[in-house]
Amino acid sequence: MTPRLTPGRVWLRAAALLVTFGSAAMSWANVPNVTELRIEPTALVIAHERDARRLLVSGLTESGEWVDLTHDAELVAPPEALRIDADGYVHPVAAGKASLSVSAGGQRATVAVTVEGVAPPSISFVREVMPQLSKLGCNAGTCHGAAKGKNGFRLSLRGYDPDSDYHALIQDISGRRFNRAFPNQSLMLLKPTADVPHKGGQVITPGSADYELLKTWIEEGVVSDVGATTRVERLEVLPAAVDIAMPGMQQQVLVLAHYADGSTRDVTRAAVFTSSVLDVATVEKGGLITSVRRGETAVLTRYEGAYGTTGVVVMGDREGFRWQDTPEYNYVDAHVHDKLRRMKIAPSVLCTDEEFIRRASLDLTGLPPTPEQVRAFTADATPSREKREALIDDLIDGPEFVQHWTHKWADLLQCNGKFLGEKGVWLFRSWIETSIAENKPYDEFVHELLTANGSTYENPAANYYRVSREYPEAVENTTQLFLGVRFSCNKCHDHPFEKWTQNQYYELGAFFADVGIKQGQQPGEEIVYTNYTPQDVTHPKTLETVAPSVPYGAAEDATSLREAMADWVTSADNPQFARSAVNRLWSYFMGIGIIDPVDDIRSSNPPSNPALLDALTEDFIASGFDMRHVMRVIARSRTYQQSIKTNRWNEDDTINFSHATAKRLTAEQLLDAISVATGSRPAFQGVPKTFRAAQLPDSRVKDDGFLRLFGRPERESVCECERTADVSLAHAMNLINGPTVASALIDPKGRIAELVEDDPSERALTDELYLAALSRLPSESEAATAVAHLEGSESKAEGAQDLLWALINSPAFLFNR
Amino acid sequence: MSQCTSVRAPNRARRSALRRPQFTALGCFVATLALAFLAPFAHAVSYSSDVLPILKANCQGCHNPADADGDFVLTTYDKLMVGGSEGVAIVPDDPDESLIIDAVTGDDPWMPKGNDPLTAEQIDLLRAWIAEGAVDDTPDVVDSISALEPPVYKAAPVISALAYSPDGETLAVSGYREILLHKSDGSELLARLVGESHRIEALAYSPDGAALVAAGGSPAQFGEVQIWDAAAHTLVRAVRTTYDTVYGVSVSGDARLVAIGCGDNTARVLTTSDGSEHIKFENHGDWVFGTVFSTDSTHVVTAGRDGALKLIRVEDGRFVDDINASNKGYGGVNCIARHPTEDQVLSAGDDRIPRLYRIFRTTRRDVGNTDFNLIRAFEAQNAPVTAVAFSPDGESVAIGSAAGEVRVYNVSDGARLSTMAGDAVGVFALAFHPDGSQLAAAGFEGEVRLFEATSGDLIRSFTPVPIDGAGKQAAAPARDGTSG
Repeated sequence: MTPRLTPGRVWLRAAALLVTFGSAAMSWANVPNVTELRIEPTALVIAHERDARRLLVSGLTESGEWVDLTHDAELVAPPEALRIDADGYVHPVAAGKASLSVSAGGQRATVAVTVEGVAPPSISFVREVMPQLSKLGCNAGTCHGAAKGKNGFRLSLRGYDPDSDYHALIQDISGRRFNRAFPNQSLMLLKPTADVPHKGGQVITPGSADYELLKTWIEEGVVSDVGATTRVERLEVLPAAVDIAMPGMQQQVLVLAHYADGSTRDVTRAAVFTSSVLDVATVEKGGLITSVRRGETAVLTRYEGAYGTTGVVVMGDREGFRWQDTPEYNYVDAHVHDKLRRMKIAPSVLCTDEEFIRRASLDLTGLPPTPEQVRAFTADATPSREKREALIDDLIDGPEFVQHWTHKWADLLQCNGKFLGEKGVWLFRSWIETSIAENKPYDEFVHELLTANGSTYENPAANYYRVSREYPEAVENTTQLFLGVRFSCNKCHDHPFEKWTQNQYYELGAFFADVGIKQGQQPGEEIVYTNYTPQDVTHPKTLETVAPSVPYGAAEDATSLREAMADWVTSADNPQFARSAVNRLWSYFMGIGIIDPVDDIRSSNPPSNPALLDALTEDFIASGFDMRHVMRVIARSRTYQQSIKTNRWNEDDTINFSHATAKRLTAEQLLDAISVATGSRPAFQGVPKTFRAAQLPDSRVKDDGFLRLFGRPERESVCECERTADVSLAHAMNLINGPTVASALIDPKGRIAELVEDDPSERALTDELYLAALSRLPSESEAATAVAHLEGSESKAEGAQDLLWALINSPAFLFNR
Repeated sequence: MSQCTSVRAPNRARRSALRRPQFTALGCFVATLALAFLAPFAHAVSYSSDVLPILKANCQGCHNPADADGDFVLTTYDKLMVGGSEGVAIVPDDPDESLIIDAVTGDDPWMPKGNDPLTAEQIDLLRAWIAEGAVDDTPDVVDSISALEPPVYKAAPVISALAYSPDGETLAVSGYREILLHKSDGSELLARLVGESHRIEALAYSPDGAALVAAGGSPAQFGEVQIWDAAAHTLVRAVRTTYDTVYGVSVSGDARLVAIGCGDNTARVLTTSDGSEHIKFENHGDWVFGTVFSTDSTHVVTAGRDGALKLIRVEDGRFVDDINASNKGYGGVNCIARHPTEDQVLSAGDDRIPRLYRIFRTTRRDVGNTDFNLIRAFEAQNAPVTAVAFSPDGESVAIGSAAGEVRVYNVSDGARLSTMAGDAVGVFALAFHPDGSQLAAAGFEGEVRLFEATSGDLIRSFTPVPIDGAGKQAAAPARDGTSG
């Protein structure tokens, strides 16, 4: 219902007949008075009729916050120069310069508008038709963008391949979908208007701008400018960061597409927006963000294969918050506290020494401390911070540390007899173990894996290529493992949420073209070698041989393709290599990555604390890729040593590391912890009797089914997600009623059998069992309950079994907290 | 008035306000009220202008003859009133008893399935129409295009089919809603055969030249086979089949049968004398684009986007054999052509490699599905192949591709004989003159190009349709060409 202009009015009266615009986003009554207006962009240049532009209007409130007034602003322009539509877009009427008046919140400002011309150029397939197919959803994965298309019509997923889409629209089935002679009869207009049956319904209204665009393109001869016209080069999303004071408030964003020729277009209405945390803020078509609750989210803007990410902070009511200066043990705390201060979050207090020894032991060695270790640590009168640092050093220097991290890497590198054979598994694990034991710099570790040649029996690192036998696996595993990015999507099409292209997949694949694998002399032995007449990697679409090239940066010449690729991957200059590694390590200690999931780094998954991630990355590189150093830095930070208990100001925080996060013990940790608590060794098939769960070389080693139930990975994927750490009814039933815990409790060689032999007091027995299971002494009330139960039991042994069973079934045991 | 757009009108009311400009003179508030409460009852609700647009936009995608969920079709008034497997959808005068209202009403309506519910205004319109008796007011539409008033073109349509008459006198060319008969040297437009099909996908003359058979239809509406008296220029019979255009027509040796490929993954054989369906073959996994009869017309070969070449016995429609090893990832087959005298079929499509097969197997199939029937694979083209033709002597084949190029190959050794530049975008149709001297090619640009078959030199190029009412008799001026 845009008021219509009556032509022919004299200019003097124009002021009274201004084209006005107001909007539906917020009622007038709610518009606050502001002291200042800010308008982005500060001036408009409009190239032609189809180049409509919009302004972002913000106002500074008396309380000093900027609020979005875009939808409340009244735009006034001389009608002979400009037209304002119902969405607030400025359209040209005549070439020349004009002044646009913007009023909102009691303030007024003017914006200079230059109209370069009105007559539009002919329609660009690449820049106008393709974006429209995306905007209307035609090329979505659920519609014609599906791998096989829909109802015989297939488009490239989200339009990554304009050439094939042009072919589909214009050439497929002898040009069935357009009619140059009678444009209205084009199937590509009849279908989306639902004039003929269309399962996708009506997505275009006849006569709308969308309809006219397609029709005009057909009338103009369905010209393709694929190859001649570049797609968008980058997106500019305004404002650069969104700060919303209170839930319920809104913010409009503006999306400008920048092209290689320097031109821009306002593509806000055609861009696709998604919010990464929907219960913090939602974003609707057209780029209006509505905040829902206090918190942080990122709005990803997608347009024609270009991406933009906008951080959104919804502050909410923090009345009464005061930042208390909190000790900073190292740079980790400085960066974490910075963010907490900004978000008005108060960090938790420190955890107790008992909590710390259990936490640090489990995180660094995979094992809970023994009662003796707990006693010694708590009895030590050294100042807490010092003794904690000493404990960290001791744990890092111990053999359990090596076992634990060997096991972790054996997971990620898929140390699995199915791929490597029995001997291969032992040798590969042993190679990892040696590397961990000597604290091999991470870059060397990875470089050795990627360039490994020779017999898999003599150089077990070569097993990397027995797992990643073909170049697609090598591409996908290498990128996900060592760069934290996922390349599996772009095997078949450009990545739908990221900049990675299908070409890059095969270009990277070409580096692995020279990997040769042949049978060795011994059974099960294979030889990995560099094949100097490599098998060509061909692009599935062009069917042409692809030359090796890296997806970003540059690979230097080296003695072989793989050497060149490994140099590039492990370089200190590779922004993803060290960064993804420290993020991974951080997540093992803190329960969540700074970027999470840790192996899915993409622009739509931004870090919660970029400065912290940068600092850890730089430190890791400066330390010479010393993994133990990074672990030490993390474990020594106050941030790591915080209590799991929350306070009023951090209870809703899940991403800013303001308190410790409970982590369910992994399958192996849990089994080994049961073993520590009960003193009973689990039985595994085919390995020495002394082996703990964390020492098993192969995911195929059999136990009584416990490890698999609690999420031991099969080691058939590089994904961290292969290991599960959820808690389900089956888990609870197993712990309550299953054979593993039951048989460990009654083990005649177990802790209880040994303890009751000396006939200790009920209280002493209680203390000992608490220490064994929970690494702490009981509280007085806990002790009283336990003692009463022991006294009422038929035998001390039975009573002790009941007590330990109850402790093992408590969350304090099941979780590392 | 000027503040109109600032009133926080609900979206629904604002949309309807846009649809009904007569209310813009009223205050917005009044307009909103009027639309919400008065509009549905103020006038009789029209089926064709109020109800049908709602059905089209929200329902017909899943309830149409080609895809009738719940056996319910609502693309025509009659079918709508019949209802589907759930029962009668519309009880005139009684919206509360009408299933269609029940289906779209409520907090979580079960229709439209998987899509946004209808707006309250749309439901009110449906209810009011039913309450007023659910009357059909579809206006009689007079077809503005007929033999007397053939299509008036502003631009040349793409050419999807070409055929020479067996006597070599006439070249039939597809147009929009018509077939244009030209003198085979392109010098004169002889006749315009106007029908109802928007697109003519394939053309074939009966061996004696008496009949011209066209396969086509209107996309997403109907398929049609037209049988024309080639001499009298009159339509003998138009047979509607399936709900989309049909393709790849071929005529049996005795002209008793025609075979077509269809967009519903079937191939069909129709009887020319009465249009009845003799065979419906349902063994393809995707659209069928091509058919050819064997030399003795006892069998028909079909091919399509599933990449398969199927051999079918004409007598009873039984599947006989998979001619090619379509599981080898050859991609969809866009076109096939039969050797003029031998039981050999040339197929080509998305994988760019034309392949010549013997139609009848001489080597048993093996477990690996080896391509035993393959006689020759030709050079890969530089784009998907969109048209093929066999020369009348069977010694050469012409291959047209989406890159706009036509290449002629020697069948016996696969050598390329000539290359002809053609349409900038794609060649959709190829035909050899019966005497083998010239090759006609056409496609995206809507121009017919006549090439000297052996040298590949361009003889002539012309636009087969008159542009912008330039006259029914004269085609657009022909351009003489001297080189390819």
